[in-house]
Amino acid sequence: MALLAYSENTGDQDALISFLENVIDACVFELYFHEHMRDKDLLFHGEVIPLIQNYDPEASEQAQKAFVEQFYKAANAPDHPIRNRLLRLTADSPDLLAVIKDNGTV
Amino acid sequence: MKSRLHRIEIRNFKAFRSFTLNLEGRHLLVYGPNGSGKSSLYWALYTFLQSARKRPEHAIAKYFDASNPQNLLNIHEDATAKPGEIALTLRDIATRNDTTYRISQADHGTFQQPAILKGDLASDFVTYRFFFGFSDFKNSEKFDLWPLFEKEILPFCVSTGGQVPLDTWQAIKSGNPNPQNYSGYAGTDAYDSFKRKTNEFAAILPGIVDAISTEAQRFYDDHFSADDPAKVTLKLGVTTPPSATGSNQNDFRFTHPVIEFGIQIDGETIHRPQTFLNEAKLTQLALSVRFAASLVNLHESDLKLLVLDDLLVSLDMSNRMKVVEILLTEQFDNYQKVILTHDLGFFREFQRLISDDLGNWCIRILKGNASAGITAESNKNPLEKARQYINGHDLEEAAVQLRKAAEETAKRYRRFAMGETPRPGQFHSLSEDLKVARKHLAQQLPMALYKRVVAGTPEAHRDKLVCASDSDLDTDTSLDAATKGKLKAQRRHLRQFLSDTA
Repeated sequence: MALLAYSENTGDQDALISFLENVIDACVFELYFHEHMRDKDLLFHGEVIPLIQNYDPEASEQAQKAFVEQFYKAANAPDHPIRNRLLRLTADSPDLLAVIKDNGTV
Repeated sequence: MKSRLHRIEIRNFKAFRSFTLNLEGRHLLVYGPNGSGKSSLYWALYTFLQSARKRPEHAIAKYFDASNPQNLLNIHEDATAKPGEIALTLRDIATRNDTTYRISQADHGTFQQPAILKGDLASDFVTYRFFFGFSDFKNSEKFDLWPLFEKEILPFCVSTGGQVPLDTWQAIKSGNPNPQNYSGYAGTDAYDSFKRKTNEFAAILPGIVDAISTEAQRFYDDHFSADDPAKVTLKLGVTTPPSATGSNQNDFRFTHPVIEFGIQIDGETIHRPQTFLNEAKLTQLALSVRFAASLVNLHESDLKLLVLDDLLVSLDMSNRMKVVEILLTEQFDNYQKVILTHDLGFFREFQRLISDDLGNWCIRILKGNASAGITAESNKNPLEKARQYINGHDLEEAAVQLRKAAEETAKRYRRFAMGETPRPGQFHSLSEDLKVARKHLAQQLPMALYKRVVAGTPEAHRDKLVCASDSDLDTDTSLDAATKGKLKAQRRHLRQFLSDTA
């Protein structure tokens, strides 16, 4: 079926890439605004590190792809703290992180 | 959950002139006939939550401004004497402190309020329209959910990028899809802006759809797959992303997104789900998609409403009760549910299903209309209604209510005594419930008889409990011979029972 084949090749990859970009953005925010994000219960490093500590940069491309997909499935699950903190990042920080997000710059 | 919606106050808004509803943190079940304000309540909650991210200079004041053609004021009310306003009070469960937020022409107290912003990201509003639309594709049509998604899901979607998908889409829709009409810089700016917004939306849409698709499969597997003879795999995907193509204004072209819905059964692709699947199965798939869209919303929010506006009218009875059963599971525990219906039968059936949990529900009946004013009245139980009718000398209606009271009591007794909860869609008549109750009571009788009569009588005297001689019956002229015979036989049984027990 076109849709299922499509999703395995392209569609889901777009979702995954977009999600990873958002996680990376949030982790960078935390480097700059750790205190502010801690006050808002918006810290990410502590949640991300356990999920990526077994990442092997020397592994085959296929293994690395599978690792990233696994990270995406785990961190983007509806009740996972990473997904939920991303969802409320701008709501809980309308005057700082929302402004940065809106302007597209860190 | 730390806060719950405690009170709703609406003044001069749509069907309401002046309306107050004290939920006190409970779920809300509302019955109202057409025109009694259910949809106005739905829109009041929706407008209120969305107001948190609407910039003051744009969106909220116009709904309360009598001079604005987009106002949502009650047409029978004087806006000068009674300005429109929606006020929601949230109560902190731990501290019991109340916070009231208001929106009106003059007051936009919700703007950028984290509690309301998150409430908006966490809440969902579901109507019957999605389910009607889902089963309305012709055989010749591609199963493209985008038009339905745009109206019924997108307004409540969230993005892990922090953007509000609806706002991004509305920016595209309000832009000029072919800005070649503008000349010079104006044209270039409009062209660049439109293209940028389109690319932004194209980047966030797959993430939203993919999260819903994954959750829809899980939801379907959990709730609907048990009776399937083969594995059902469902998938939503953005097969055509929105795009603005063309290197200059003259060959600029906008393409709408396409969200395809695909099904496989036992690995076999179903090319036309709308034709191949029966109505009930299509509905189950639609429910899976729509509730998945709710479940992927923000979990971490004090305020989390699930508002269902006549959702169930589009469903057959088996799916209707199944949905109610699902809504009452732990999966939806963290929502404060608001269920609006104009179906009196469903309203009563729902009350029966929550009869063991009534303390957590606020049940109201909307009465009145936009002109006369609308009130939310508490739902009297049948005995209270019967008393009211008897006082008003309406014996016929009182009898109807007494019959209802008897039915409810018998049903409750059956559940209590037998530990038996009817399956969704399973009904028992009053006589069936009474038979079960009588049988259960009869089974309890020997033990009660033993405790009250036999155990309290010394063993040596137990044979004295029933007269040893039947001569009293023989001399009783009020009894005919057949009755005397029956009574003698019953005395024999009783003597035997007492001696066995002893």
